[in-house]
Amino acid sequence: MRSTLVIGIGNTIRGDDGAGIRVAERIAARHTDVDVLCVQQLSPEHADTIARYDRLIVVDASVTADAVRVTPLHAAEGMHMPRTHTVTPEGVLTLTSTLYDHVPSEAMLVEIPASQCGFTEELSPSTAAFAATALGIISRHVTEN
Amino acid sequence: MPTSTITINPVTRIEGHAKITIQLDEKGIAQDARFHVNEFRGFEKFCEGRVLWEMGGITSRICGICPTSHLVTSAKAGDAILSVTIPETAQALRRIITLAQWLQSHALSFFHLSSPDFLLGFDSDPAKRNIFGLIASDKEFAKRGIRLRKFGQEIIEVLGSRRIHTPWAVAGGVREPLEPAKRDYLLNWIPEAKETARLALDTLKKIHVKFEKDIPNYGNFRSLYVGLVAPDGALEYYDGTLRVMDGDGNIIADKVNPSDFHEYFGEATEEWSYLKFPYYKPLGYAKGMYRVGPLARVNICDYIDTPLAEAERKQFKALAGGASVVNNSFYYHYARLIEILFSVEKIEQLLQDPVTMGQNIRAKAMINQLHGIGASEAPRGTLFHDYTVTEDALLSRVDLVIATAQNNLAMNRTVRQLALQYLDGAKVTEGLLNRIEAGIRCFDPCLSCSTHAIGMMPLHVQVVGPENNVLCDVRR
Repeated sequence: MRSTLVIGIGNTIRGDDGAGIRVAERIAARHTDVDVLCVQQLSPEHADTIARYDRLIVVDASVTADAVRVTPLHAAEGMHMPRTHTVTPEGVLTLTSTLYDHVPSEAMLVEIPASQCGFTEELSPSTAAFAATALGIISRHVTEN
Repeated sequence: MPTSTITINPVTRIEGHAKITIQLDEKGIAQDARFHVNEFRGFEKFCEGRVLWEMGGITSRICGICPTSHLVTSAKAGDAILSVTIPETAQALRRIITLAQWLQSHALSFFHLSSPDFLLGFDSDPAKRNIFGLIASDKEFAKRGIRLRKFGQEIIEVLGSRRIHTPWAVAGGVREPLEPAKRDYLLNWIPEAKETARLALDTLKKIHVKFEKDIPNYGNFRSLYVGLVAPDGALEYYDGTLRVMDGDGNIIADKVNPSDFHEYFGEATEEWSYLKFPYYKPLGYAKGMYRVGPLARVNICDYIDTPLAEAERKQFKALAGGASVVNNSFYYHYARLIEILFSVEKIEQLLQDPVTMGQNIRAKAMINQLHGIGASEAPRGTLFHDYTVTEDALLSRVDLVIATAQNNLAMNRTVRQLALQYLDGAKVTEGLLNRIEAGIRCFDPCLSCSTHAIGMMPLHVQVVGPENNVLCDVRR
């Protein structure tokens, strides 16, 4: 299998915002040959890690998605400024390409619909269901490709 | 009375939201400057009613940059409430993670946020004055900075099993000991990290020459300096007692127990900012203005107990000429790099110390005090967590005194000084804006921590006349 990195993004004490991390943790338990990173936000030094992989899957909660959304990620052309310490998935991919002249041959963003981001460690029922869907999609993808 | 106002809103490349207002008099001369922080999250309030054991996990969410500082300081407040002396292994491990926090935060500040100004120039194209511009200018330097920060993050991840928001430090100690294989992995990073720290210092010294005409205007004034020092006067980062030094190098308070902080320091508020204004009580508000963080720490300590950093400290002190205190805020950058070098040296020492590899890592106890204060040196300065609990360990009062807030008066003074030097009437130039921002960035403020605000917007500048009419509106 291609070397694969899954990055889960979120804050697990803010309800549905932690969905990306919940999914990434379950990927780690299910696929021992996949490397998993759980972070609150992407930052520039993740470029150093991403440069070593053939495949990148970023999992994050989204308040704008109404279904699990899978979007290919590409290093952008030209210079994009990372916003202080935090970088978008495209930004970190661009940084990886610029610094290391290498990006994973496949990169995607998996977004999980989130609606309740209050002070809790639990996912809402709807986001929990979407997280299960996302888990299935990622799991199948890393197994079959 | 001021006749017009220039507003810079918000400031870029600092953590969080802010706005700068410069008030001009009838002649167009800067009369006053205000560094407004216009967000509020109320962490102290919503911590009330939570259980003591949750506080590390909750307060570490205040900030994505220095969560570990909050975690360790929260654990220290918990130690005080349990009335325990933690095992020496736990203390050694907490020391390592505190230094790792300095390392990653200082690397971010210097390499990612400030270097584009220095290496590309304050008047260079703003669209390129960022990390990508830095890469285009010096790819290896940018890569080194990213790797150095990664080393700090790796230590936090190895010790805490997570890079951010690790629940590893707890009241009474830490949750996990350090395995030998992980120690060896971290030790392998040391040569590269030392080399990068040296490279950064050498680069900064060239920058000092390049900007020798600008540097005297970057917050160059006397103030008090506050920080923790070790019992023998050495640079301290985890424990110790508070020392207060004036702008002439006189120690005016020493051996102050951090638990007595409120006896010596007050917190004023202003209606135009959510950021509080701490001051040294014996001198009153605002005469009791003080600075914390790298500049303060390197100024107030008698020595640094690692050889390379101590040699640099002596060179740093020489910048003061015949005086014993470096009062120029631009040299926060130099002090920050000295602390990076110190952190790498000290982490190496601690990793090689057999005490660090012990298995006794936690003292367990119930609630023995209803009040406890924890203090440590966060990257930006002294951090205090002050908790009051019920007998059932529920928080009834929380007071978080944050480093950035303690620099608030000095940041305002710095902006005023820069405006006086570089502002020409109401004309707002990119060079002026960036110099003011660079003045603020000397302090590396973390508004996420200090007001517990989070977020980021593009730069917006307004010049407003006496009738509140907008004279000039600049957006980046």
